[in-house]
Amino acid sequence: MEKKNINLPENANVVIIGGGIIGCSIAYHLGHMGCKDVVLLERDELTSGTTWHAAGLMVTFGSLSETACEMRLYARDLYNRLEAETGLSTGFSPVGFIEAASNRDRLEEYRRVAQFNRYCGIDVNEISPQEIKDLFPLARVDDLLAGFYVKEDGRVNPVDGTMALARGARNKGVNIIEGVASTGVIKKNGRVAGVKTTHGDIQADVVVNCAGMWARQIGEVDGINIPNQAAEHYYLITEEIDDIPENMPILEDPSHYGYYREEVGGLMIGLFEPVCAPWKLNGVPDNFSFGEIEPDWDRMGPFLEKAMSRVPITEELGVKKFFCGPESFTADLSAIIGEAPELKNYFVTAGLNSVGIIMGPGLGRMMAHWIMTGNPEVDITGFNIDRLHTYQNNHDYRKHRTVESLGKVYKCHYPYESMQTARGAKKSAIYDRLKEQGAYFKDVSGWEGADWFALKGSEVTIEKHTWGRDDWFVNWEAEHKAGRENVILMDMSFMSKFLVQGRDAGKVLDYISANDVNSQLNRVTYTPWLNKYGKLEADLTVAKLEQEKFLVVVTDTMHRHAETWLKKNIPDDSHAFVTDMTSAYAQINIQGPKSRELMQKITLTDMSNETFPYRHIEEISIGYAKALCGRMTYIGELGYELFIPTEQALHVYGMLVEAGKEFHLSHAGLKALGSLRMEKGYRDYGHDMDNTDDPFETGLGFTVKLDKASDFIGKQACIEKKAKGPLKRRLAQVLVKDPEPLLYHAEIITRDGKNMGYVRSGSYCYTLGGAVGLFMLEPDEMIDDAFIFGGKWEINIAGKLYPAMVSIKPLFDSENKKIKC
Amino acid sequence: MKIFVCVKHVPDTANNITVAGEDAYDDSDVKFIINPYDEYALEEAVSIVEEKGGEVVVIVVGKDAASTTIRSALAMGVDRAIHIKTDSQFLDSSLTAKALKAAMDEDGFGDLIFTGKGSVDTEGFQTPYRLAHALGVPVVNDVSDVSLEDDRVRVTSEIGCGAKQVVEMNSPCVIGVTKGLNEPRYPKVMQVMKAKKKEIKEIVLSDLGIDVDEGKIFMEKLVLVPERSGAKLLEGSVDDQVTELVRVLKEDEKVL
Repeated sequence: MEKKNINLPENANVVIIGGGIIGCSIAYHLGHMGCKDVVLLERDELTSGTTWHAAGLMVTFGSLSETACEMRLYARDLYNRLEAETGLSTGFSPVGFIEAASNRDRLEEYRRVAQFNRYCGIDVNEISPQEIKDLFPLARVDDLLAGFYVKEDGRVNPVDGTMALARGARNKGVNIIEGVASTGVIKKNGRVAGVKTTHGDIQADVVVNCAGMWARQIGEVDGINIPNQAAEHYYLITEEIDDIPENMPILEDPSHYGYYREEVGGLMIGLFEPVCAPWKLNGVPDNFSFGEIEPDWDRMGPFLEKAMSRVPITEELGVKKFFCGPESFTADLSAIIGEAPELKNYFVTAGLNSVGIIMGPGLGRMMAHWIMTGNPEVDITGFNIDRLHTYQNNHDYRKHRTVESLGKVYKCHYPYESMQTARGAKKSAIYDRLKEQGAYFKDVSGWEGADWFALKGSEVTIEKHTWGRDDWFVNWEAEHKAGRENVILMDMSFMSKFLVQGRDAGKVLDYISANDVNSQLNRVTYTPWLNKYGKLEADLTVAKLEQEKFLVVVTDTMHRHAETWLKKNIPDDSHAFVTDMTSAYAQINIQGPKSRELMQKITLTDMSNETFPYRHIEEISIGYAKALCGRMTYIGELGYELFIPTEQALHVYGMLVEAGKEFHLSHAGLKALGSLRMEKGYRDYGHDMDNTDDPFETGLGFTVKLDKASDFIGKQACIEKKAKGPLKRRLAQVLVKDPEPLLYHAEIITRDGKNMGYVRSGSYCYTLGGAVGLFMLEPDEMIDDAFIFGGKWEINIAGKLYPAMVSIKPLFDSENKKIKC
Repeated sequence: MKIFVCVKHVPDTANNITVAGEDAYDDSDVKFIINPYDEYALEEAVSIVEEKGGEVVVIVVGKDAASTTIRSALAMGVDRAIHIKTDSQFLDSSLTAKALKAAMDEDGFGDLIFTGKGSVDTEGFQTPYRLAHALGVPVVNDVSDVSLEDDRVRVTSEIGCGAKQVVEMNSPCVIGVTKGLNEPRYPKVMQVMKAKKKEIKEIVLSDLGIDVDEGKIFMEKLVLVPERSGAKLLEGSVDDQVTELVRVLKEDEKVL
């Protein structure tokens, strides 16, 4: 094609690739934050790709993430006021939104969501089927149980919204250039130095890949892993309906795979079918700007019929358009956002899973902040790009997983449901043995992780998911009790393990860690890694094995994040090298009061408390094997963690099981790990604490060694935080006094009727006899004993209040007697 | 009454086309539709049969992928289809007419034959005439109104500059239709699903005794329309604008 005559700037601070809703929102917010020399490159025309055919639902209801709820409210507000600022309407029309619940499980889910959404400031009301009918007279409501109505929600015109953002950005000096495609970045010293384009190069410090369904291919050119995948997404538009009721809200009925709204006098029916179709696995064509996909009527017919049965008049109406266009989906239905681990200053915001219009404004604001200050200032643990691994970019992985991910949008989101597609990617060395033992596996960052073990002779399946007690709860309880009273074996091979070696390894780790990790040989130290703002980047253990050799162990979800953080903070002139040992070591944890006796049976090393105390680590001999053995626990008991060369794992496992017979050693899964650690109040980064929390508020103040000899990242911020006096925000445990209800996430804790926080992660704690959760207690006043013991605490679970108990100290063994004996 | 409707499977004009080689384009990601003029023909035929009884048979000369267009036609209420398969999107319209005639001969006598006035891809506007010639029946193109009385057909056709002429002819005849004739219906989902079960008879072009090499018109070269350069908005007072315009015409465009 003939090149247009375009004046490309030679330099820029930030180059945004992609002029859809996301790119334009980032441009808008960078402009408003005063960022100079921002260039947005759009390969074709603004909105081409996915934005132009988005349905434009502006719905605040539905998320269990505080970050997402806030962003949704922000989006609604921004679409509302953009016209006043830019003169361009976004087409925002507050017609309202109704989520219909057609069965008990959906009702339970939406009541939980509604409760949490109200806590986040979303005005959602539960309404009766008759009220749904009054608002949306065309719907069949005889089989509905309730609706969840947000009056102020509505729809926006995605093209107009994008154009308004673009105008707002231009007004602030952003240079938006259409008809120029990026062909890669220029790298220098491991960071972005510029962008190559079809019309020449631009020298730039920061690049943001907002290329939507092309993001993966564009990233690939520069070795950046962005595993999103386009999938078919459908909506149908009917011909006009005579006397269509006015001002009907958007109606959504996920159990019928559909949402419904008025469209030019007819109806639009949008579909999220349960089994979906990835599109163009080998790459999206460059020129598919405003393209449509030929609808697959054979595949979609049955879903369409079900969707139409909710609004029966649609069966009698002609189909003006059955539209199929591509949208991008990710492996876990969370977006891909943040700085790529492979390249400094290469940012990505893509893979929006059909919520680009809803999330675009908030993500744009966040990215602008992140780019300008280095700090996103919102919890990014759920969608950070570095949670994803390169194998997830494989053709086969995308092919299989995408079938499930789009469908997940409208499924009932049961608490313990794991993705079923693209499974078996990673198996530990003892996987087959665990399977023989009756393990039910779930997806743990791609690993097959044993969740619980079936009792002898019973089936290892989950027949039907539920919000209540499942059949396998008895197995879980038995494993939990065995951990408290006896001894359990857990396969933890999915943990991320790194060796840090070299003359400066200790110095470097001590600088990155808030705790003192470099003093004592053969010692394991639990430490947070903080950023300069004193917020948590990761929590992990550092074991000093030799003077110049350290083992760092991090949770599976933080693998690449911790690895990147570590590498990026090693000064260029330091002699320290990081090796990923995750595949080299299997990890088996032996935990429980009888664990020492069991360990002593299989090794000649003296395992007594005197010679092998809590936090001690050394290499021991087990049979023909050598294994690193650390006396550590994540369940609050006497226990050991074994790091075994993978090829010797089966051997050691065999010895453990054989010797374990006399102690009635039980296998335990991740459910038991979760409940045991929860009653002990041990934290799980990414679940109950994140990058917006500091160590003091999360109860990890004991790990911050302000008096250690070396400086460490975040020290200054920690000093300032301490100087501010008593904390007004603290991570606390909540115990439901009634043994019946269960806690999962997002239940609201109140004190004397006033909201105090929500459960960040929950479990059922058999030793304590009830459900327990960890929550950030935010009363905006001093949290002392009088506060804790003075009020009436309750917890709201799916709209029902239960008496509760709240504690800052661990509810189980607060004096650590069990782990140090 | 039996009505044949001749329909072409064409690329949607909203597509971005990538030329592949000298004389073809890459159609792998191009959305195809019923030729828009043919939609009026389908609507007219289906309404006539709904009123008077009989059957509508759609005939499509096109590649394998044309089956989507055939299904769309069937969803509009057409009873059955004949698909004459070709290897190429381009075919000399004299051969298209020959193929259509051969298929009609094989299928049996039709009372009326509807076509669109032309196709939006090649815009040859030849087929209705060549088909009528091959069949030896009368033809009128650009028809915006049709009425039937026994075996007489009265049509109104557009003859340019807003003028119309009314023509009466005997059936069978070929009627090439245009916009304004009717409002093509949107099929219901149920009809789309039912259309999947309707009969499509498939015939390979060569089996009708037609040799593509006998054509007289071939596609030699396909080039994209050059992109228009952007318009330039002149700003300021009328005087400023005129001064600038003269400058642009003299200096930039060098037309003065």
